[in-house]
Amino acid sequence: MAKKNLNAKKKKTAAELRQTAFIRFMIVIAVFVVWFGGVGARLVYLQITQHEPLKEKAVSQRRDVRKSRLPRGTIYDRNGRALAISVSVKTLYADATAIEDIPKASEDIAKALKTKPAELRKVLEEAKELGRKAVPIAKGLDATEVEAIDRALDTPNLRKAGTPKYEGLFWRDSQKRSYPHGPLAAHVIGFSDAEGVGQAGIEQSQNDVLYGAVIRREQERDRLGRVYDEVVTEKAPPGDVVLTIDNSAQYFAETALAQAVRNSGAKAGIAVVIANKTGEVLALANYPTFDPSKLETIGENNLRNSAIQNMYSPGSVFKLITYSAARERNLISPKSHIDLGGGTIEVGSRRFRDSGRYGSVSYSRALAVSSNVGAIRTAMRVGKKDFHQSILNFGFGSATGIELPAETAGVVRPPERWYGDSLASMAIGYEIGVSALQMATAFATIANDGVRIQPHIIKEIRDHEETIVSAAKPAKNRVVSAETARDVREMLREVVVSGTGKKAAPSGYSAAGKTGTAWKFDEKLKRVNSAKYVSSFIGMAPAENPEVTIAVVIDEPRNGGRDGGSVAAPVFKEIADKLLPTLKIEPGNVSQTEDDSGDLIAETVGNGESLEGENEEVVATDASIDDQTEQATHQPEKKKGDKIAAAVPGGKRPEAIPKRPAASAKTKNEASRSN
Amino acid sequence: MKKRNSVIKRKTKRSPRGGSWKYLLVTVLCTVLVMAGFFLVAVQHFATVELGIKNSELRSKVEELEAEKRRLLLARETALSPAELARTAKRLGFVERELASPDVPVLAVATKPETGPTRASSEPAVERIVYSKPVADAPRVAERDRKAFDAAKPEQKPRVTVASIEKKSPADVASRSEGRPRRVAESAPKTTLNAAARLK
Repeated sequence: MAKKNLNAKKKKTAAELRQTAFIRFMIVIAVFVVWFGGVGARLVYLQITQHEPLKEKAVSQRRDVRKSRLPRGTIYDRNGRALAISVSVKTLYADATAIEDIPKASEDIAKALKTKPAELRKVLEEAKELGRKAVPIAKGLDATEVEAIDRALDTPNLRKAGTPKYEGLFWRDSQKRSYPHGPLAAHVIGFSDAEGVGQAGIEQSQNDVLYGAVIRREQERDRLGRVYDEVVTEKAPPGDVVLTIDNSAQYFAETALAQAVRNSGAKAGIAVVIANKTGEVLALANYPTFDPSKLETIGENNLRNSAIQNMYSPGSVFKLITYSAARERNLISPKSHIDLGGGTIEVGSRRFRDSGRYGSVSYSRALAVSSNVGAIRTAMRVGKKDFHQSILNFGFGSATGIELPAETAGVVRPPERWYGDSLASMAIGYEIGVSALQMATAFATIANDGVRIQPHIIKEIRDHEETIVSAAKPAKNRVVSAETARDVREMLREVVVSGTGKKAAPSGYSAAGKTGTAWKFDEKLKRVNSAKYVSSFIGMAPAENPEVTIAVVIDEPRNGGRDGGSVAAPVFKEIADKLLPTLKIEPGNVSQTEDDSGDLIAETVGNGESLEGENEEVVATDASIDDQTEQATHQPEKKKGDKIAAAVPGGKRPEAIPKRPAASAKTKNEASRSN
Repeated sequence: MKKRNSVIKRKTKRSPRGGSWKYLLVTVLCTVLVMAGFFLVAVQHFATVELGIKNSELRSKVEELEAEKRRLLLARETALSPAELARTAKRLGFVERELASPDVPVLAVATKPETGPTRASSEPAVERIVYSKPVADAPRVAERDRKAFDAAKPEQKPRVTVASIEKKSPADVASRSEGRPRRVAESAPKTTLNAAARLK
């Protein structure tokens, strides 16, 4: 019985033990279930209801998005010399919220940056209050400056990826546009703003090519700030622009021009160099100029690219068109003679004069001495319509199409709006507005055997792999025959050999060209001012086979000789002297030596004088042939002192020739502004 | 009997314990496998992260080098710009070669008829009377000026020409060897003669 009880007790104990173990096991299971259930419930809660904010928080902790700009395209000259290039610079930012001791940080940073700590402290304190995490402290620092600042701000015990090793400070890359040649070709290159957008010159006109796109980088960082994953949105890098400018030619042109403008006390100056056979602009200089690296120094006066944006009355250089038009129609030849009479001619209500009495001379000589009478009588023979057509053929009255912004088209009035003396005025370069580039192109046309090649300043556009994506294909059109061009060149040669342009003769090379001295339009007087000149010389060299055309325009020279032959011609010579050997142009035939007797032939200035009492400079004429109407095409040579009422093709006096308005009102048509 | 029975009971109790060891072993093996898998994945992950970091560093290095290349290009262009070259040459004592002949129209300025815009700087612009002379007087004035000019020519001319020759380039002088220079040499002072000869 006792044994039975004992066995029963043992059985009961074993059952109890199993029960206890089971209960314990279940408790453990329950704990686990509760534990995992709680965690699971929490996870469900976090995953479902707190998903977005937590995800954002997680992403913001490990990932940051940085936007950076691809370096803006480079502008090269024709020889591959960089004229404008973007370089990487750094900006020091402060995360004000991460800086605990702002006064101390201000002291440290100011010491490194060599600035005043008080200002920095104020900035950081304000930023901390506003919770700003990126406060720019120092901008546009180059590698040397960055290195110096990193050294100064190094905190040894700080665990941080990247530099500077200082709590709350970090660098960001940015760009700086640099112009290594300083003011060289500043008006051509232009400049771009801080956003990398072109504001002038090629920078502006080719902004689409040069613009560096903004790229987005998504970077994932570890706890030390090291980037371990990066996703970059790829964009095509910008292209590069190769100009036709030759930096040596540009330098020669700019230095010679600057010297001439300073010496003559002039207001401004322009120099343009064109390669005749290609239409490439080798140099385009304006003075005063500016340094695109120093935007703060740019003013209204020196920013304007006068060579293409300003128009002026060219004066006697325009006689090139007059004689070309006549020669093209076989009305003249260089050796045929014209009677310049007593050096005066009356047309309509104006009297035009020469600087002397030349009598009967060849057309070459008439151009060499810059005879107004000769040019006017030649234009009369050409006639209004043909002369107007010739002007248009040479490209006046429309923009040349050069790849620079805001080019002027100039002013060429249609014959219907000409006054009775307009043909005469235009024959000697008045009542027309031209740009220096247009005028240089006209000479380049004659130099290129009568074929006008559109002037251009961009040689090619390349992509980032230096593959040419676009090359210049300038338009070509024949303006005059090769014979005409050759004869006109011969006449222009005479100008340099024995005429008004003797000072333009380069050393060792032959040259041909034409001087011009024009009265300038005065905004205050609202008419041309006989005290203000625009003096110019446009020529080509070598004369036998002209490779380059050089145009020099000096605005309002004040000191010394003010005519084109005295002011502008020496600049031509100086540029040609240096440029021609540099371009490896063989010296031409200079056997026809210049007449360097020192006798400067004076050039007549001005658009004649009014016979209606507007002008005080009224003198008597020798004789007049009243009421003579010149034939348009085959007009006989007149006696000296001719007086011509109006040039009308067909020989009839017009019934209603537009009457020239009063001085104050006429000037916009009469003389083009040069400012 | 009792002993045998107890032995038998023990045997029957042991058999599930042996099975549990097997289960335990399998579980451990699985755990080890899973752990090894996790370990391998972790190694891969950290290797990837490490490579990502290196990749990122190399990429930034490439960018830095490209930026450095641009900086060096800029420095080279700045150093080779014409203006900088001219400054450097001047600093080193080089003198610019005088190609241009001096424009010495002394004679012309002194005797030239006042019919053109060429004039002395001291003259005010508005006072230059070009057209105020009666045209009837023009021939007389022109003749007078021409005579004055011709009279002055022989005295002044050698001086002007010599001055021109002295500053002409050798090429220019050579090109004129059959023309004026010979005449200049005849009338030029001895020192100038030597200079002209040297240039030739």
